[in-house]
Amino acid sequence: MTATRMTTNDVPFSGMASMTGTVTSRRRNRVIAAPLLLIGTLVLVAVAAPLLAPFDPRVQSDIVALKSLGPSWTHPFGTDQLSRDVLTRVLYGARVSLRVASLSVALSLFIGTVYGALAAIVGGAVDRVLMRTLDVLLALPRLLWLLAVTALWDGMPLGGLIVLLALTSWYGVARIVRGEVQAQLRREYTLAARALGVRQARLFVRHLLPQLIPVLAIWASIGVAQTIGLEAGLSFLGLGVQPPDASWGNIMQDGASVIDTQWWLTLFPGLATLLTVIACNWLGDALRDVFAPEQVPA
Amino acid sequence: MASRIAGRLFLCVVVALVASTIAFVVLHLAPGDPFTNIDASAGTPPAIVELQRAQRGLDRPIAEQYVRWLGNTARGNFGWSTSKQRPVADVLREAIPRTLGLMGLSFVLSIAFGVLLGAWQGTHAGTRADRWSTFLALITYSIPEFWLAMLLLWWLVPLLPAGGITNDNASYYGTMWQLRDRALHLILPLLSLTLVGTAVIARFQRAAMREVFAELFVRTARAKGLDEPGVRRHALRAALLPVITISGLYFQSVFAGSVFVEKVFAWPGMGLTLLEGIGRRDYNLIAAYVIVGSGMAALGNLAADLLREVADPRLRRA
Amino acid sequence: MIHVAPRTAVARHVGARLCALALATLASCRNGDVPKAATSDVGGTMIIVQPAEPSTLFPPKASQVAEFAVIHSLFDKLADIGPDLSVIGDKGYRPRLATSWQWSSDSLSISFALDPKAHWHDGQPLRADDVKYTFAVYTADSVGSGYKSSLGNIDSVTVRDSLTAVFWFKRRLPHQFFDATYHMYVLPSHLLASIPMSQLGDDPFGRQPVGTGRFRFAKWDAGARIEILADTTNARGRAKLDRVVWTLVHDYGAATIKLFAGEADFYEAIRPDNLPQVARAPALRLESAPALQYGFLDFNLHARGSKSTPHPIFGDVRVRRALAMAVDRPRLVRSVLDSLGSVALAYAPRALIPDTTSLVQLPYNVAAARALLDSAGWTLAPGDSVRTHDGVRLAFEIMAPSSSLTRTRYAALLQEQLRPLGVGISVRILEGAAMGGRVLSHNFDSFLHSWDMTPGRLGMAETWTSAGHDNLGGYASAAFDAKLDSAYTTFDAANSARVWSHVFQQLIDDQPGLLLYEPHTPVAMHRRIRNPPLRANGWYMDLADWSVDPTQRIERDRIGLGSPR
Repeated sequence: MTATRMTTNDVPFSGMASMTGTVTSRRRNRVIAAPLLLIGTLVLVAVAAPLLAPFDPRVQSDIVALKSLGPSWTHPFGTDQLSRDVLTRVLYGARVSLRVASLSVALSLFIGTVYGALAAIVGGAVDRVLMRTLDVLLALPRLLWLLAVTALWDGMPLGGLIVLLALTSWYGVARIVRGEVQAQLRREYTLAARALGVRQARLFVRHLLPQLIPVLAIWASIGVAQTIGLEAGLSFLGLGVQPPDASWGNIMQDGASVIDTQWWLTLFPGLATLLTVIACNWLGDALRDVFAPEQVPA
Repeated sequence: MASRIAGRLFLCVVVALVASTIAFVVLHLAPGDPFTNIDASAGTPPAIVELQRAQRGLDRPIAEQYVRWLGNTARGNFGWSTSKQRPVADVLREAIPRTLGLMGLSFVLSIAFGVLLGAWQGTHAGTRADRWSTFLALITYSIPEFWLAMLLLWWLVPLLPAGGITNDNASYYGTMWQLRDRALHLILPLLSLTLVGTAVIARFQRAAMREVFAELFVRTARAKGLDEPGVRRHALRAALLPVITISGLYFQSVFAGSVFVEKVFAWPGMGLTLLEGIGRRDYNLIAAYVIVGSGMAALGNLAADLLREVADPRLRRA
Repeated sequence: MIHVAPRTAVARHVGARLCALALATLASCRNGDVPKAATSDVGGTMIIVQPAEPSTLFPPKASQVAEFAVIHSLFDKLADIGPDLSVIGDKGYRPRLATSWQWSSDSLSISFALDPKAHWHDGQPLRADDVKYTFAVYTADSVGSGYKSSLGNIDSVTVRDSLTAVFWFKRRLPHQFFDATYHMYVLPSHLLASIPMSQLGDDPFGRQPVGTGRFRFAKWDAGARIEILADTTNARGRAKLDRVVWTLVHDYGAATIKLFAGEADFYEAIRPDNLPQVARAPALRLESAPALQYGFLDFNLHARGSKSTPHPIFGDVRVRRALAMAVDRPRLVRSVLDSLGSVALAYAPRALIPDTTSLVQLPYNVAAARALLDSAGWTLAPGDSVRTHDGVRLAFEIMAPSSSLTRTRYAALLQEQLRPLGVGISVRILEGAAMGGRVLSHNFDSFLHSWDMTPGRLGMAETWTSAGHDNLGGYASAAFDAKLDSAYTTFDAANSARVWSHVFQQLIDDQPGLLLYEPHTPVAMHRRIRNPPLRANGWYMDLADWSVDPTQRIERDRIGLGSPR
């Protein structure tokens, strides 16, 4: 699953494309607006879940008479085996899924940027050591780590899951940031700034970081897409978000064994996952189309 | 060239070693061990459990266990699998070919279909058909594989076999029957892997084609009056480079991604073995999987790099 | 021909079906060169879906149901326990490898006369030496069999002549005969004696066993299937089925799909969620088998990490009783297990409680539970949702193993049931070994536990007496220990029932764990399969007598005994 997509992260620019050459700002806005609007709606739904949800996500209204009911007017997405409202749980699941994905991606961007920039700016032997280390880390199968650690360690809390997802996904960011920073360092204005004695940290924060923002934005949207899929996969194996917290993955896990009779447990959270992943990938593509031409190092 | 390959191979070994060391530490520091599952060991007196633990050397300090394990691994002895009650090497010998068979097939098909689709899209850039197929690829690319696998299982069984590599009675039938039986069992897992794989490759192929079309040498070729199919052939060859890079990385992820498809379709390969091993705390089996998995990934990258050099003379170093 | 089980919702997903039409055409041209059918009830193939792969078929090292189902068909015991599971003396026992047995006058030894016609699947005859060797293997420290402790009352096994083995006992006890026959499957000494004991568990024998059973081992495709065939020359008659195949499907959902698609005939672990589906499948029927399990919330009576300081909450019996009284157990059973379970009556399944009517249960009474907590000092401050007592909050953790759907659901249900009472519960779903690690190091409040008992009830000494090594919650009661001891040593059946009632009543009053459920193990099977009544100590007990209705045979039943290519 997600594994197939995670690695394509490592080279988001190799397939960089645009035949348009110059991009007008109106077209730029139009291309980005649609996926951004979709993502905004999803985030809004997640944030407003307590207001939108018809029930309490933990309340078991009637554990005998109201369990495993199909979609109806009262329960548009049906109920689960503990008589909880599935629509409510999908809405609250959005909070968990989006929070896990966005926080872990933010953390991984941070680690990757610092690591990559450090390698590029310091250079020399430090750079070589950091890059060799990265080669080794890149070759470790990510999914395996996630499986082993989440399965064996004492009921991973949400925070732990976020850190774990971040720790296994920053390598690609580091590589790209290093490349970008190296390219920037060769340009006249940085040479000039260095000649003027601007401190390295200041140089990075004031001059180099803003240049990285489009790259990081593309990374972030693709990263969120992958992490949402990955979290769903782990939870599906019973290893991700722990019940009674709802996440899309663990609702699907509840439904996996009864897909023939209680398809609503698999279908609705699956569609929610799919919609979110599509929105993020779409945004990533759009950002790439818009920003890439200026950002590709010659 | 030869020394560079040797260097890269050495790096593969280092990667596998580091990976397995981290795996060893992570596994052994995790709470519990193969003998603490009270559901499995109920009724066994603690003295006996201690004995079983000692039989596998798990009562020793972790450093000693590590040194012993490292020594054995270096000599090619992956140790004893506690979940399968047989040598890890035997388990791997059966599981790896099954995974590589399925994955290899889907890998080849994904690249073939992906390159064709992407190239077609690239040459028809901007048309309605291109926009629609790109949008469909975006959706396919976004589907969680396990979800796709479950839906396929739900829709297509019993028209197709529900899982496994062969029918349970296959060995009592003729060769032709067995071949057909195997083919039928391949369809569902192959379909769920290849749909997504094709979308991944096609995206890159399309982008690469469009980029190449914008490049100077294509304009030159056109200016020189080369016919359009000739231009496309040239462009396709140039556009293969990024796709080769992607394939190297994709190979690694296919190996890891096998876990979900193997689980849903009861395909007894590495992924399924790993899941069972994790469920039963099979240290040696998991560590061996890490070595094989990361070694495989490193080899995939190496192969991609070499292929790229073959395809693009500019990359060859003096 | 392919056997296609009719499905009810045909109109569904027409698009997907159309796409698959081409594949179906391909599938339907399967045909085989199949031998002609027989007409008696001998013959047929049964395919069993199995979620977990056995790790070994070497009987002394087996521990899972998946392993015993195969082992029981390949190997034999000296005698088999009767359907009523009585363990007093030899009442009800049926001869297996032993055709008869004789008690010595002081009852301290039993001599077993072996079947002279019995032989191993490799053709060698069965000898009394095999029985002696078997005892040596099961009790050797270097083998590390989990059954060693159950054989503690047997002093030795000797060989009187080549067909007579004698068991010598240390003490005269009601369950002597059970001890001698229940745990041990007789092993072939002529194949194993040359292997050092410490190597036995790892020997390839565990993957290609040779036994005396009415089925013989055929093959084991690692990760895929295990196949056994009828032993046509067996002294007790060949098995009626030609072949039984355990097909391994790791994922529960995929396993049920395989069953409903008609690719398999039998599923042992069907869940309540799938009951409506079984009812709708015309080819399947459901049989509810009794089980020897019960599930409960095991309380840690000691503070976390300690073996002496009482637990701040569960150390008080009034709290334990109040919690039990606040839980609507019949309703929980109906929610989780539907018709496939009942409320546990005591710390044993019904089948092992001699007299269930005399037991006095704690009532379901939420008001009384509140009152009891109030009187024990656990009061609810205004505006607070959790009770406190001397600054300690009535909040604790429930652990449940991720492998058990029943128990993870119970955890979520208990959390909700007890919340209105002012009890704060956090649920942790853990992987089995991680949970076990915490339990064994006494670092827990409570966990959902399920015991699988043997007919002898001998495990109760280990689970509940103060010296028991499986007494995970640390319950200690001198009164209980004494009552249990007298139950184990009472020979008379009527007296025995009365003493056992005292034993169970003591536990119910003390509530060392919150009693919850007793599952019935429902099995789903194909309608053409005929079977004797299922037994509580394992559905597979009489597998050699199962058969296929000759008028309802399907393609795989006609394969015959032919050997695999």
